[in-house]
Amino acid sequence: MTYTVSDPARNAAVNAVTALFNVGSANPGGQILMRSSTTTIATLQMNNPAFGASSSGSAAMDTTGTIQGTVTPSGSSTIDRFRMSNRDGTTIIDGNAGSVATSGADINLSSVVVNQNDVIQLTGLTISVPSTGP
Amino acid sequence: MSENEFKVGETGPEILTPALEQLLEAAVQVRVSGEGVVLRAGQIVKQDDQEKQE
Repeated sequence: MTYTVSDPARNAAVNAVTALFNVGSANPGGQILMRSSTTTIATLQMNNPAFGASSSGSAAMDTTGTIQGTVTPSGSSTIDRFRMSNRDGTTIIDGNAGSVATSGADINLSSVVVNQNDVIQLTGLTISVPSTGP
Repeated sequence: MSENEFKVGETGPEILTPALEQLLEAAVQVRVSGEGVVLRAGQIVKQDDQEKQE
């Protein structure tokens, strides 16, 4: 069974999701956690609002001011997943193992093996809803 | 309630299933696509040193 989702419906869905990152008050913006299994390796703070308005079913993260975070654990760590939360730390999107890699993943980094005090910069991130379903 | 109406009620969930499936499929098809770079701690120090020298 297949189906098509209209652009207004896609935009509504995307905008509803991206608005959730701005909810809360504990932090200035929502956060993206780079994780190794259940251990947080780096915390990247998003702007508020975190995303622009959706167009054609896709919204881009606002990268004004550089979205980055410093690797805190000592030694070497291997990032394998991400988590996106709102300003209060409530999880909105939780990536599974393999969702962060150097290619072919949801978030691709120049390297997933990082060391303490390395800085992870996200240069771009979009949230989208495809126009067609399976 | 007539027998026919009761039958319609019984088959209601089956009629709704395709629509619900579409909604559920749409809900899980929110996609994240991002990219980033790792700046090595040593490189950052070097950059700072270069800026100071300049």
